Amino acid sequence: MPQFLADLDGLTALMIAAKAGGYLCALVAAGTVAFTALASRHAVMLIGVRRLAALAALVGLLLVGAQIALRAAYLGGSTLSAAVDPMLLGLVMDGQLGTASIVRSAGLAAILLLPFDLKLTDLLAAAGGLAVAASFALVGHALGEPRWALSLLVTVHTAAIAYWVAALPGLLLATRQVPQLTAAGLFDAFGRSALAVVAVLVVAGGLLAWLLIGSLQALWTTDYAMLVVFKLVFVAGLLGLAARNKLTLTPRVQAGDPGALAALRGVVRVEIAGGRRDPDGDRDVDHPDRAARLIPLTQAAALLPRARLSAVGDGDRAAADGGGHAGRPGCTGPPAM
Amino acid sequence: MKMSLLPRLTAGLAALTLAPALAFGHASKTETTPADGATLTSPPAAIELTFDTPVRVTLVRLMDGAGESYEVDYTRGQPVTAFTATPGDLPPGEYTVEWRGLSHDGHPTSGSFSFTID
Repeated sequence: MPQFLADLDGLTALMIAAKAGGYLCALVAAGTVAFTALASRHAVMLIGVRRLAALAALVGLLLVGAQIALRAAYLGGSTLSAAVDPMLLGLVMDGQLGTASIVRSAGLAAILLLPFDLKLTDLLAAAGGLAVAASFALVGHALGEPRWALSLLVTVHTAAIAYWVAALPGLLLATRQVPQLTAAGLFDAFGRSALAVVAVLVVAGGLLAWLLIGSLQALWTTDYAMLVVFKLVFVAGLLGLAARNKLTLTPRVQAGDPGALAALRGVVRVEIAGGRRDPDGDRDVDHPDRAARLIPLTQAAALLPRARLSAVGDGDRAAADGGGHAGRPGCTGPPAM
Repeated sequence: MKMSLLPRLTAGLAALTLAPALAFGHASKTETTPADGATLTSPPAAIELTFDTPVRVTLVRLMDGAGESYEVDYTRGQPVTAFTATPGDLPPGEYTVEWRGLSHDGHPTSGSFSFTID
């Protein structure tokens, strides 16, 4: 077992779970708002998509609160009373996590309105989705220099990822709730929009990597940069497979192949359940939604705070990580937001 | 046996978020008084932490080798580069000091060190 997993205590595990769940819910909520544009002509499906966005927003809001309470609990010695200590909660809210939490919560609250047929619902939800994406720029990478460029790039990168992540449940709904040709149209529309999304991801991700890593040498001398390289290789492979799928299964659905929609539904289900063969016996790894499902994992690395990058390769890291003179392990912290 | 989606996502996120976090925690360089591993002939009048950037210390815990806690007076939550806590009278023995706080960039940080009173 890796040492960092062996070092996990219960509270740290909870903090990681809340952070991971919060990321996922925020991305799904924000991305589903964008996905409603594709589904806007299909009233039955639209209801499901809007409810999905609201559900993700609700769970996301709860997890934002959990993150704050857990951070306070950590600061107060991993006790329950510390989780509700006003002084510690105030300290947490006074920092990066507090600012990002306020913006993200406001965005998620606006998305909660999506199932209700109000006059400004769509506009508010769209603004909410943007706020959620922007909240990721209030922590981690974007706090370095040049601040405005990093903030913009992280926001755009996050919005593109959110759209892709949220497409999976949306496309699954399409295979269940609308006629085959309509579903085929949605898949085709998603495929076309995905091309633009990929372009945005590549450009924004590339610029971020250039601004944060700064040199080719860093790609093999810093741990963080090696994570970025891993991410790039991983995503490149997925995109290649996704392109292959776009050229095979989707055209069959469009051509009215009676078994194709069931196959497509099976593929999406398999994507959700994880890694079995689809009804046609083909490996499912070539579906674009697999990339969508896994991208949050790599995004988590992308959102790591910039300060960690600066710590890598620091000759004094042992001293920095030590609580005292002797480089004793223990000067560290739980995951940031 | 295949894992379901949720555990896979959680495990993946945990690995990707935690590994760098534990590897490159947001810590300022610290010095301590008493020094880590020091052997003292009398109880320390103060426990001091020195940071190169301001840290808001939120917790100081002083324990002996048997895990028994001892009271320490300190002010929580102030951004300081020199932090002082005052312990009570300590009998001879081995002691560990654990501390937690928020670093200048808003990230949680923590540390520990030990000393012995002969």
